[in-house]
Amino acid sequence: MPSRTDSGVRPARGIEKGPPAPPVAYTRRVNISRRNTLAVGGVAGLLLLGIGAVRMREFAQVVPHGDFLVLGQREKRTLDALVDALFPADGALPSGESVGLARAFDEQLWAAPPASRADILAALMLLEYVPPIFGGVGTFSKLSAAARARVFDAMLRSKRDVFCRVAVGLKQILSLAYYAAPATWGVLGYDGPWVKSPKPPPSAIRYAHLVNEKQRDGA
Amino acid sequence: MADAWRERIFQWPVLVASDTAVSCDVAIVGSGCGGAALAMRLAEAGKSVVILERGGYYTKDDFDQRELNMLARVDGGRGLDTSEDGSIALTYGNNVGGASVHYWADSYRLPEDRAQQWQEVFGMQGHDPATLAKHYAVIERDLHVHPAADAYVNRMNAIVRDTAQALGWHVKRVPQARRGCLASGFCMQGCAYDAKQSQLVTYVPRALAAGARLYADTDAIGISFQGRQAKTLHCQVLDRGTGQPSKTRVDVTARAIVIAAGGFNTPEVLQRVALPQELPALGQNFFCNPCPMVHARFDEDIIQWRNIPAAWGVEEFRRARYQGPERAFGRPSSSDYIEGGYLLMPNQLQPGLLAAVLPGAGAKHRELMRELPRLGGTIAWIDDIEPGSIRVEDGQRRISMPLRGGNAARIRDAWIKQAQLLIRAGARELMFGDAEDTRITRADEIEPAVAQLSLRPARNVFAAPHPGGGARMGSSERDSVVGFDHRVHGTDNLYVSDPSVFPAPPSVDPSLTIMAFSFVAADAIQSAIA
Repeated sequence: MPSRTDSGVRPARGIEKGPPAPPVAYTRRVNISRRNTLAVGGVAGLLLLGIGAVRMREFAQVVPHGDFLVLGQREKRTLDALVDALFPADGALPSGESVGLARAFDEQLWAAPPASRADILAALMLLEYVPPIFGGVGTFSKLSAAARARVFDAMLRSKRDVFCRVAVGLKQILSLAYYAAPATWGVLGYDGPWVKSPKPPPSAIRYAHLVNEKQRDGA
Repeated sequence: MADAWRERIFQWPVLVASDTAVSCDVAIVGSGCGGAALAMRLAEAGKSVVILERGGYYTKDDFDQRELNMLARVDGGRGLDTSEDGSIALTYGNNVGGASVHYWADSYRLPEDRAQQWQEVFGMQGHDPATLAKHYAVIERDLHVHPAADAYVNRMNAIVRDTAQALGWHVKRVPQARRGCLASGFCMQGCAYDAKQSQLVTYVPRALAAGARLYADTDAIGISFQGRQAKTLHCQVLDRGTGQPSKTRVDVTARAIVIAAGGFNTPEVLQRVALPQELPALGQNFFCNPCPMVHARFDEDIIQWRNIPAAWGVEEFRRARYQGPERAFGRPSSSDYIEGGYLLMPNQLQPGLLAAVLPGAGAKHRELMRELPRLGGTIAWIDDIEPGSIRVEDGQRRISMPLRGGNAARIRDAWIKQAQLLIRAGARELMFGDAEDTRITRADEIEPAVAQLSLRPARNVFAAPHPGGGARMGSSERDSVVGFDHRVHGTDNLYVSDPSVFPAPPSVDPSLTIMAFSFVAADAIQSAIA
């Protein structure tokens, strides 16, 4: 079963209390305070503080990018880099990009409970800045695909709980979405559902509707 | 007119239009095995019953066998919810019919040794074996429970059966609540053929046919008390499209209010309610059957995703063996653990969920997935021995389950026994699903490999399908939450009817026992409000 990526970062007050903002206007701050940053874990906390408060603050301002409803530009860049490293086109299996993993991830985030959403966003942020700890030079999205795969594998095997939890959580969400995509089934030898037509759940219908609205407004 | 009962289902989006105030004899929060069985018994006894269900009402026509679509419909937390430290994936229902809609349909009676232990160690009263046997007989008839027939034995099941027999292990056909099963293998995605006898197609419609009303998409958020008397249950209607609360309220005034929201949710609901009396045991004594898996690569096609998940199960290790007397849940013991304390079952996962729990990432992980037809494996339902807890902090539910001490010993033994079975069955390679991606190919590698598997957070994947104990039953308000009549201590008319009341794990799938306990609760509530 896929597990939530629980980085130990508590959701911001604005997320966990009070009536939630309408999802279409979902522009909020993932409030990673110094205390919460340290709660992520000793090494990670030092790393994050070392990166500099200015960049942290920028990253914490999550403004949905393009027609996405949750992922901001920076987060999407990190996610794309991860998808590219874990799910490249290999001649038989399609690329993660071509099966729409970023879109599926955004929808999962949008529909997730607020606490899970905040944790997953924090996990993406940690992933972006963590490479120096594992021998990478620069931020995750700037590394070569091979270096990204090496860093991610090192995180999975890390003795530090926080890195392992971040990597396991992201891998589980993406693996579930990738192999649940019909485009992968033929290569796997999976004959798929007996019910011929997919029936999107209400959350998927609402998500698609809001994306369409955003696309119309942006056109 | 056969489906006239559907007119008594109120749900999003119509329900959002205006506030609702209703009154009834009994208001029940939750529509899974606990709530639906209770509602059916009370409604058929002539009581006016209102069921409040947080999740949506879906039928077989909504069940499309796609993993992501069905996780969104029937899985609480959409498969993203974990214990506090990320160790255990929480599996619970969020739909009419509760977790019974995505369970495997395994349907066991409470074993006699457990019934005896619950009486002798935990002082259980009113739920004696004779009383439960009477209720089990009714439930088994209603849900068409029967041993799995040969036609439902897939290759993985046959491997488990034959190898366990070769090893001299006690292995049995698993009793199944099914009728006309087509063997599609999509039990965890909700049955598109109404063959699995979940509450959605059994006790929920029967309750409604007897006059009960069902409010779906309705989340219980509070209870008004007058002294010890629970007067009104306050709920808010959820927008099914977003899962977020609307401003629309449903208030239910009832003579009795029952929380049957499931093993994860009931202790949380009770902690959010301002109970008239503090109950220190609330949220304590929690168990959840954490499930370690072992994955195997065979040289033949297994096709684990078809047919029913578990037609045969290994019962050899259901009871733990000790040097000395058997230890009971949460109780100290001077006995030394030898082995056991779990059921060992064939595993079944569709490709998305299987990919999520297989080890590694990137090229090595893809190489494994390319062998999907030849991948099989087993899973063990661990009978917890060290209790965990459920608490509400900063508005969030926090679930803690210790993977140490007796629990860790059982998990390691379950890994060893699963590996022994799979190697003996001829598996080419075994994977433990751990973050280190430990793999073995020979029997002599099993014990050293298992000894080094880490139980630290997120190093492995454990599902937790059978939670309970967080509002356990007992005579004293010092160490229990409800009495033997299911009534919450310190209240006149607030009850619990789900596995939260169990004093200890039942050592088998709990669904039949949850229903049987609900039958007892129905009798108690009827007497109380007569």
